[in-house]
Amino acid sequence: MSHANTSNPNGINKARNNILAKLRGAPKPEHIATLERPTHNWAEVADPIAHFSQIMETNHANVYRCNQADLPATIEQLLAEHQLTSTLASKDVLTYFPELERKIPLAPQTDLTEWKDQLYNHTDACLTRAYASIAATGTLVLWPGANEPRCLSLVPPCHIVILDTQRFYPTLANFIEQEKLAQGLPTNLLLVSGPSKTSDIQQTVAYGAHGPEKLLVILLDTE
Amino acid sequence: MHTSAQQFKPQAHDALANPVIRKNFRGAMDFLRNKRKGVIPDDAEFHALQKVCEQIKQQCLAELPELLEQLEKNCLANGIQVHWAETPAEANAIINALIDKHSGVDVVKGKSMVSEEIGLNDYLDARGKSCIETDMGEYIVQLAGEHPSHIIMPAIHKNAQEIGQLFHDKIEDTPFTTDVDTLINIGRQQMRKRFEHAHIGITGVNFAVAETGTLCLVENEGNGRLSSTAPPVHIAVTGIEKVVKYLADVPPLLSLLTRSATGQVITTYFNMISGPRKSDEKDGPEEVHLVLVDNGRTQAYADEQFRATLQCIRCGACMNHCPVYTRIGGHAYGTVYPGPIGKIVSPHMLGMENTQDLPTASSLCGACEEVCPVNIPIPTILQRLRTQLNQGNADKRTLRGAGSARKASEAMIWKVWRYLCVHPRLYRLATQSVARLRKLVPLVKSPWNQGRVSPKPAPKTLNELLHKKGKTNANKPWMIV
Repeated sequence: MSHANTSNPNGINKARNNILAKLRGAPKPEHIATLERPTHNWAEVADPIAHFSQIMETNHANVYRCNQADLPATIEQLLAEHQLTSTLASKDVLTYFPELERKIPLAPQTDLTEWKDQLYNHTDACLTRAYASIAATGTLVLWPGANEPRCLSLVPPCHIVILDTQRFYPTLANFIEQEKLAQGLPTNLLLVSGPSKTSDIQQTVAYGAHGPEKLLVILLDTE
Repeated sequence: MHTSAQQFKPQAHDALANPVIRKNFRGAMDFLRNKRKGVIPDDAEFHALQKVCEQIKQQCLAELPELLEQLEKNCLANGIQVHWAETPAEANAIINALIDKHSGVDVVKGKSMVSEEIGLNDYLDARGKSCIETDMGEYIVQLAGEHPSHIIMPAIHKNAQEIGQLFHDKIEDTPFTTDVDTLINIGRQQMRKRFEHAHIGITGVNFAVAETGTLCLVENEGNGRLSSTAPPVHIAVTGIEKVVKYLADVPPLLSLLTRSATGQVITTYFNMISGPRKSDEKDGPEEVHLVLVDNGRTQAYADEQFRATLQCIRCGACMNHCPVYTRIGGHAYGTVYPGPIGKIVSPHMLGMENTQDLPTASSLCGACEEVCPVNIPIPTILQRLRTQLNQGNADKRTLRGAGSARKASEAMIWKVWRYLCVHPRLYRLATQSVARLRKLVPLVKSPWNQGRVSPKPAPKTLNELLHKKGKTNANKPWMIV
């Protein structure tokens, strides 16, 4: 088996072999209950969209809802409402909103190192797409990739995300199973359940610890 | 303030006498317990899920060597390089070499208890590398020159007043404030530039999924995402017990982890990393490394009962519910992992000779076991550790440093006691002597009467009393018993 190239491959192999040998030398458990790994849903969610919205709002996110025709107006409205002037959008958003580029510039299609300063210091919001959603916990699934850099949903103080209301799953277990994720994951799959926060000072919640302080979710009815 | 496990007793004593520590921990523990209760309204649901999580971890441990190999194979296939370290020194050397390879100086670190365990910050510091903690709580303790006092909330021992003063003293042009939003924003601004320009990002791992070669990170702040996304190199460091077999094992474990830890149904971010960036991606690290650390875990693994220690998913619920931890706080233990889980995991990492007092710092009330999401029998393990500490039979000393607390005098007392108990005449003679000489008993100095009234034996032994009763109630035999 091939191994990581390090300055001292022999030493590393030695550690690996020792660890595995010690584990193999340990007694095998006499009885381990055979677990039926659960394939069922952990919880039934009666009205996924309402449930999702309620938890999201409790977690300090703003939730909006519109249909495709109203999407441009909705975006315009929330840009004004939150006074967002320098905004970038991911290419994935064009799926829902082909004329988007006239309103919000797309993030450069080059390596982030070339526009790092712009993103870190001169962008107050980014618009991305949610891949899916998990109703039970009020969670967005983000699937960054070639058209949607990971940092768009992370670095600026505000993250606007469009979620297709057809893309609801009741639970994470159900999502993993239905999407056959075990057979293929992206380099970075993210679950996001609100704006960045911390309770590290005297158990007092503060938003915008390191990631976005604001999370604006647009529920898009695509039918 | 640096504490050590050898000084547990004086440290616990100091903590008990410190009203700020007492108040900060009491408040924080009540808060965390209530939060947990809020998301575990149904005991039956909790116990059912606890059973599932316990079995998942037991099964994964039963197949641990195979799963580690599978994890390694799938990580390599995904482009994640895998390194193995038996000791903290090896782990630090691997990480240091990786940083050197990339001529890195600026390191940002997301919260990682294993990096605390191996003493990574001090190691890198001594080699001219600056490793900044980016988790707000970790950042605060690093700024104060301290170590975390809780595995989930590292700065839980400090109040806003103390943190405001710390920022004012240590960060330039920072006026004193106790406003939490302002303080957090100061922390955010301090770390923005570091994230933008860091060479290396280091994080821990909550679950490493063998079947997909995926590293999962649980967090609320986004610093874990930034540390694993912004710098060109991401190094994840974790203990060998964090591997799970299937991706489908993650949802139940994640659900109980976040609910037990902070009372959240899920954290703000759950970050699943399955490789460095692909050629068409515009950001993300170019290299991802996984460092698998043993550091005593194989010793725990070698014994079927101690193996349960490795089921731990590091939620901290056992600390939050521990009457000892609540009163003395995290620093008094002098170990990276404090509280009940710390007492059962530290002896394997540091040796029993260095952690002698820890297994005794428990009333065995069982609250830790009750709330444990993976059902670790902590009180039972503590009792086993006590036996190991005092084990006289060299063949039965299976742990490093076992038998180190054994005292010849104590062993002799127990031997005499055992002898008396099986020799009734001698036993009677001994107890009668104590009863007759009862006025002298308070003169015997022992730790028992340092804080308590000395016990005074009764003038007559139980045996004598019963004997007398037996005579007067000769016609009522049931009274004799």
